[in-house]
Amino acid sequence: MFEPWADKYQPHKLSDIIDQPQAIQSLLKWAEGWKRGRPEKTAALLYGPAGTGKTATAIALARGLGWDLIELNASDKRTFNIIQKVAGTAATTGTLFAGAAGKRLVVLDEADNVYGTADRGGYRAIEQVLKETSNPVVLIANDQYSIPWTIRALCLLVNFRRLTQDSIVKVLGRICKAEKIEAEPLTLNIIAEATRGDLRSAINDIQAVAIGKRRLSMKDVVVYRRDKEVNIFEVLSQLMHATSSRQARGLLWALDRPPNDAIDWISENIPRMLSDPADLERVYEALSRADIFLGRIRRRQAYGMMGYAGDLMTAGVALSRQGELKHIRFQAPSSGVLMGRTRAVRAVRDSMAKKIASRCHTSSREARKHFLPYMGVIFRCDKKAANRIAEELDLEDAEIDYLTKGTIAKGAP
Amino acid sequence: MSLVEVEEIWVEKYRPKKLSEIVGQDEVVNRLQSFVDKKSLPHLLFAGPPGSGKTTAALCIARELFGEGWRQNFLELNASDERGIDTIRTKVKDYARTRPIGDVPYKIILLDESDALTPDAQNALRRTMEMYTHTCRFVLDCNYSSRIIEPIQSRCAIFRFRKLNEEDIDHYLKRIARAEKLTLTPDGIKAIAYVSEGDMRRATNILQTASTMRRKVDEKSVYEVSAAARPEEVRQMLELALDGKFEEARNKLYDLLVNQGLAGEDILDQIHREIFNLKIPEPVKVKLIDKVGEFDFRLTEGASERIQLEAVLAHFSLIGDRLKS
Repeated sequence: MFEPWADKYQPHKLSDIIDQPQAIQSLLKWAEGWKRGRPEKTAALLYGPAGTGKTATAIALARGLGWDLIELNASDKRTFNIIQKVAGTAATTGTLFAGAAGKRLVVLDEADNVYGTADRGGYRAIEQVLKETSNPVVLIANDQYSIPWTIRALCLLVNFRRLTQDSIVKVLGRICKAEKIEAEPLTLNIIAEATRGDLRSAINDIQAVAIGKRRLSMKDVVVYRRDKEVNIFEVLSQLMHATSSRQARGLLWALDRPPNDAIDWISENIPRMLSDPADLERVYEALSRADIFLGRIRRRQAYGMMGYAGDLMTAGVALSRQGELKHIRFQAPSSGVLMGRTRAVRAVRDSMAKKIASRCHTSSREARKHFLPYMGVIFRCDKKAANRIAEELDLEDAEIDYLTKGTIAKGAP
Repeated sequence: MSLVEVEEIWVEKYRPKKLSEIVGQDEVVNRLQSFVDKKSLPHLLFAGPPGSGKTTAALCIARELFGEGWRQNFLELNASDERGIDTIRTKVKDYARTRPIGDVPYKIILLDESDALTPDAQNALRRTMEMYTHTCRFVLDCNYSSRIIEPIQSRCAIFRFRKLNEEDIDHYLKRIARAEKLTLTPDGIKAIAYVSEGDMRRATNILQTASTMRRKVDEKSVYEVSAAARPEEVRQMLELALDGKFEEARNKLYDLLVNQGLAGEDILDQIHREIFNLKIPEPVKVKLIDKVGEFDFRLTEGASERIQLEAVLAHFSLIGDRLKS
């Protein structure tokens, strides 16, 4: 029998939920309120990207507190009669087993996809339920803003974040161990990276490539990656043939990537399609402007700017072109992966610049600009002077390596 | 700092220990000397180009005032390295809490690159200066005094350090050459003065580096050093872009960012300097510099170095294409 690993390895306890400490903490506090009576916010809205543990958390919460769990799907027409019964008046008596002290946790999944959205009857029904319920209700949605504010105002808002790549790799590692699969180094990283913080899809993916194997090799994973990426290339090609800004910006959704990720794919491929240097310059001006907005978003958490970044990197890029397009082989962004590798080199360079700065009464930037290049020459030309300078600055091996070879040995910290 | 006092870096080894040894700043030095002689020191604001002797002057004052134990009475902070005015204030507070050691009733705090602070941060600094004015004297170093807010300027004695000329550099480097038993030719000195742009720190670094290649330092070895110290790849990258080979230029860029681990701002800085060596019409150079500056600004706004540098290369490609036709 086929059993999805995502189910088989689903977390059962709150402590098994990964990377969501804040969400869990605020949920526990909210549940605590329900133990004492009827809190002001009768419902919690768990929102965030897919595969970040929203439903699993709700289930684990009920289990941990000994509450009965009623899971309903908001897109189902029949749901409302049931809700009215279980969450509304009928629920005042408490649960069968735990008596009046026990609670029922009503979990309403897909709350951003409510049946009866068109006439808003569905949402009105939910609103009514939240106002009357004597049992805790959890709403689950991907996007909090797809839920009417009248409902959001009644809810404790609990944000679920994308998981880090490291965390996903760890989970995949545990699963491989349990399934007795030997994963070659980096294979798990590639899967984890491609799923961008979605643990469920990472588990589905690894099951798809590894099931029945004793060993997961780089080759398996590369094939898997290609499957995943076919689509994005089509979209990139469509983007450059778009003739209106509306059409072009719509394609950002088809890219299925957040703008800060999408810009890497666009800048990797689009410039190679252009034949006219004037197009190239205009396209890069649009990318540069988009990138500035992304920088502002990063710095000031100004997420409202995301739309401008997205429009500039799609419509701005597509409509900058006037000349002919070349046919190219699309490829995944290389630089992002590469930049990761430079982090080690940069760390070495920066720590050394700091040492020079403090020894020579100057700033790190100045040390990087006007000392490091010269030190490199000295280290290559004069071993004796190099040794004494290394001693004077208390340099470590990796730092000496950097000065002598201009780079650091693989596997250095 | 290591316990064994190794002094192999010439910038430190030959840094003047007394005010009177500082070259090229006679007027400034004379006035500072009289403060030191009277052991009475106001807050000081040193303005002037890099490598003109500002930090050295502050260090000399501390040595001459405090003697042996000068390090205990001297705190050095670099505004561009400290994380914000709050870190600076905390460090000043901790440092100013204890009394100075010896017979001078105050300690010295040197704040280097103080014009890197925003006006708001400078206002906060001003309050800190006032709070500790009984126990501390501030020496603020900056490139341009105009970037320091009025209220701070009015609380400081202002000293302007002038850009050093060839004669100053000649004087200073000859002292080093004698001590190190080097042969330093006149055209070698000329070349160092030219390449270092009057920055004594750079001049000293160049001399030391050249001396590790050959004991005789002449024009040729100086240019060898400055070529070796500057990645060839930047020029090659620009030439590829001008030649319309954008993709190859971009790969070179990745190599610089990735394998050499250069920061985007450092590469832009190199590009800026390399522009003058390119074989393109002079007015075009000025236009390119304007562009490079614009992208440098975008980096400071928080944009990513890779995209911005690629945009620079795209611009070079366009210019190259226009020049061909």
